Amino acid sequence: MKPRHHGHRRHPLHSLLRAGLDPHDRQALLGDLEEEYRTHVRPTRSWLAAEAWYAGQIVAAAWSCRRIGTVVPLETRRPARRVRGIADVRYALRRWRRRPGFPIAATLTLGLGIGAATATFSVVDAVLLRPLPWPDADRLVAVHMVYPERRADPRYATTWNHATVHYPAWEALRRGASFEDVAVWHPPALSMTADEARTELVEVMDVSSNFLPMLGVRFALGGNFQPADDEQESYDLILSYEAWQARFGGRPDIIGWSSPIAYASDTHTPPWTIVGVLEPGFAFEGASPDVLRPIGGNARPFRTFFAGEFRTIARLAPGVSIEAASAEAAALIQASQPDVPLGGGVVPLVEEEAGPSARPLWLLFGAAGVLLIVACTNVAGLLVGEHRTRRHETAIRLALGITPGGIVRQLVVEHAMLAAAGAAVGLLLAAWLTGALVSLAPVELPRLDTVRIDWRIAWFAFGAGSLTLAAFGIAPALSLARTRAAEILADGGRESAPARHVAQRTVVATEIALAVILVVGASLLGETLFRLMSQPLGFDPTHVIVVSTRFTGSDIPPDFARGTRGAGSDGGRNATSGPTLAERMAAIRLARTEAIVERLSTLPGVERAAAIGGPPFLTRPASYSFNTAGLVATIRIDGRPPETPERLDVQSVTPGALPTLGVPVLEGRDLQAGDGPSAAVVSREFERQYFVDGAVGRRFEFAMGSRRNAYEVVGVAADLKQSTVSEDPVPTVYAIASAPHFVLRTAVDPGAILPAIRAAVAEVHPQVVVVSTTTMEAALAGVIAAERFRATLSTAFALIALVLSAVGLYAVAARRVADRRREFGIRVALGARPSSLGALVVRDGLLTVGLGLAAGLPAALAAAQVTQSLLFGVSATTPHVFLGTSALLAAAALAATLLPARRASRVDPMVALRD
Amino acid sequence: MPDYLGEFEQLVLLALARLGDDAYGVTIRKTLLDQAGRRASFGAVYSTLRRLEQKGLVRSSFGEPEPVRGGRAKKYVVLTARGRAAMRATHAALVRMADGVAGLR
Repeated sequence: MKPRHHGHRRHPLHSLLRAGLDPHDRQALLGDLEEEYRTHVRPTRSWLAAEAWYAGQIVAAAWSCRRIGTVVPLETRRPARRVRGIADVRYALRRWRRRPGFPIAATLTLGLGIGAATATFSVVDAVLLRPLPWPDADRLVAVHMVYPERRADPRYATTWNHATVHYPAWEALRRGASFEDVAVWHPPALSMTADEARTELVEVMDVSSNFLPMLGVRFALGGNFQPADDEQESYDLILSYEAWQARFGGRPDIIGWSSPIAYASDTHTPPWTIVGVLEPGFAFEGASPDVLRPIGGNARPFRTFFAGEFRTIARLAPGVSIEAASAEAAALIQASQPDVPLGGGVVPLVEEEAGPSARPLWLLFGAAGVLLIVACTNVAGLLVGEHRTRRHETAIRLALGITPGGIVRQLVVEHAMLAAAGAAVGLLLAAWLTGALVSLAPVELPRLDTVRIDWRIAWFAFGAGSLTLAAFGIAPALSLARTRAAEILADGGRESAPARHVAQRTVVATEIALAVILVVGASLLGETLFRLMSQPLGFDPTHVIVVSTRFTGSDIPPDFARGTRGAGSDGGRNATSGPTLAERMAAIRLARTEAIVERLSTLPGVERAAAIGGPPFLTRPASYSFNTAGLVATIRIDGRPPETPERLDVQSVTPGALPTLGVPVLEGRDLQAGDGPSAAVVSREFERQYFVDGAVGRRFEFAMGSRRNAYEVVGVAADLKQSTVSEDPVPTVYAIASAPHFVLRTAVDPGAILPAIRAAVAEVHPQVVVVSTTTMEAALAGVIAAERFRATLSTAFALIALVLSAVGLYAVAARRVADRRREFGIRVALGARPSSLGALVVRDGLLTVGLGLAAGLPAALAAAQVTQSLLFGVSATTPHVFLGTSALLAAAALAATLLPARRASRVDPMVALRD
Repeated sequence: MPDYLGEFEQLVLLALARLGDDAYGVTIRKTLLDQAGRRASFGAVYSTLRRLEQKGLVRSSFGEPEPVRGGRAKKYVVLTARGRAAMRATHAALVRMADGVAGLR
């Protein structure tokens, strides 16, 4: 019926039959199988069951026919190749069952090396190497603007991690010949749905009209923003596919709707119109915004230099280098604002996203690579030792008539088995380790969710291990197979001991040298972490909860006349004389803040609560630091001429914020209920900079733009860490005002209180939404997560390397003692003290460590220079790290040689000489 | 001395005797299953046939390729005279041994 039936069925298992059956029989058997399959099996079973039957028959046939040759007369008998391979496997298993030390050690060592290298590289690959999921991603870059004076200040390193430009610079850059296009965007920010009925948070991202086309994002419905939306106020919205499904039930007539998703702020905006819905799965830099707004959608001026900065993404014109684009960008940015000294540059988007974490990752990968070399070296050492037992056994087998080819084949099979076992252990370890790395990694690393085991590096690591096995296991065996068995048997199966000892010592010394590098690196990073953790914070983070809220309503008083609303926010007076609108709104906000504080402080388990504008490690307080043309912050002390602060933080708090955080008030008093907005507590650093002769009771005035605040100092508080653990203290002013964040000091475990918070806040005001709740300790852990990650990983690598070297050292010493038993016996018989023999062994071990240190310390010193920028409170050349490393390795050497030394000192001359 | 036959070898020889000149893998296996209730793999059949052939008890020849067999030929197997003798001898021995044993009939 079907002419195709003439064709032979091919099946991967067919080759199994080749060994046991001659070609005619094989064809006949396969024909029988085919006939049975077609006429009986397939018609009565599922495809899968039929295939399973077929495969099972083949395997059974291969098994049944494996002994077919046994009745053939002996002289013509030729066992099949495959059968001999199986015999080799059996032989190896038998050997290893008797002496399991070598295969276990080799498998674990290889597995550790392969696992560590694979896991680390998998993370590096996901974060730094794999191309971004956008068209022509290799030409995507980020453009950044540089204030030379600002960049020079390391304190801003943590806040200005990302590439940003101002609007005028963006306009200039778009005309640059180096760029095909330049788009700008604002990072997704939590914003809210201010529907009458419910208040929800949505993630909003502001993008220029060319942003989505540049990424090749398509639309499920509708279309993109218009270019005009980049230049004027615009109230168009684009929904993500997911938001469209979840919030609008995926209704198809959504385009043109006035959305109830409205961005609420102090000012009222016209209704928003939905113009498009994105294709499913849009995410950028790990965030999936619900709503996209045009950059003109922020009802405030955005086209001036001072209005704020945008993050950038640009596509280079084909063939333009990063350097050329950087040069052009710098010139264009400067030309856009001639009165301010500016610079600029271009970085590949991958690097921009990875930020400052990129280099440390490469370092960790380097460390994993060194560990892989240590592991391979260790295997080499094991093989050199194994070679000795092999020698004698091989000689006997050769004498019994096994061909040299048979010997080599046996070794190839054995080492392939070791390599496979090592790879299996390595992959298991890598799978586990990759998960551990991802959960330990600092959150700023992008694309951690895409980390998966990288097969290229797994193959590479496996290849490195196999090559080591081949070089140190099989190559000596080849020469062995050529030697005459009688010669080996004549010398008792021992090759010259000194020659082998030199080889082993070289291997172990290499291992130690590499371990030194890892231990030094780990010590530096570990000490950095320790120094960071022991920095005084200035407050007590235990038992503190931080609650962040957003208000989704309007603070404009209902009685405020509609007509004057527009002019109100900048201090315009109401028709009747009285407080300005700004003052009235501030009072409304403060009353709401205080009501929430009151409610939170009555929660069971809460000792006290307060509001604060910038809780440490979570949010910056209002910070004044710039001194650029047109906008100068000034501070004037008691009639002295105005000064421009280098940096000044103004913390809005409610009374009790300092004791809630555990910040001691050193002089004067804390802020109290009833204090007006001019009462201030200043930080110790503020006092040091502005009031050398004591701050309490003094007055000062702070001004910036149209803002002008007069303060009277009522107390001085201790300095506290605000953004990072390593920062220098920042002069800070605490004054009573409304704030969106709340701190709670609890008597019990903070975790027990977290669930009650959301409801309590909602009780006070339905339009106040809790954005996040966290503990101060979690925030602190987040701040030092990167350092902890590096220190933990490098320490783990160093420990593994140390253990491997110690084991290597032990193996050498133990073997050396075994080799010299006869010699030691003679020495004891001639009157040597047993303890001197032990000392001999220990000295030998220390000598090896000395060799390793001599090679490793200079290398470690060079490698440590690379880590300098990651260190805090410790220098890359600090002597105690290097001395400590030397001492640690010497101690490891002592520990590793102690047992062999004891054995050496207990050699019984009678027994040793009789052997 | 007649050739010694294993139990499965006996069954295969008997199957060959029943099948005459239509004995090949599929039919042999089917006969074993239908008559003796013995579920044998093709591999077992082939290895036994091979052994019997080496002892000179059976003879084989190849047929033409057939479409239903994926274009592969059948291996037909027939008893040799020696094979027939061995079958008879073994069976007779079995009958003699069984004769008079209580509970067999």
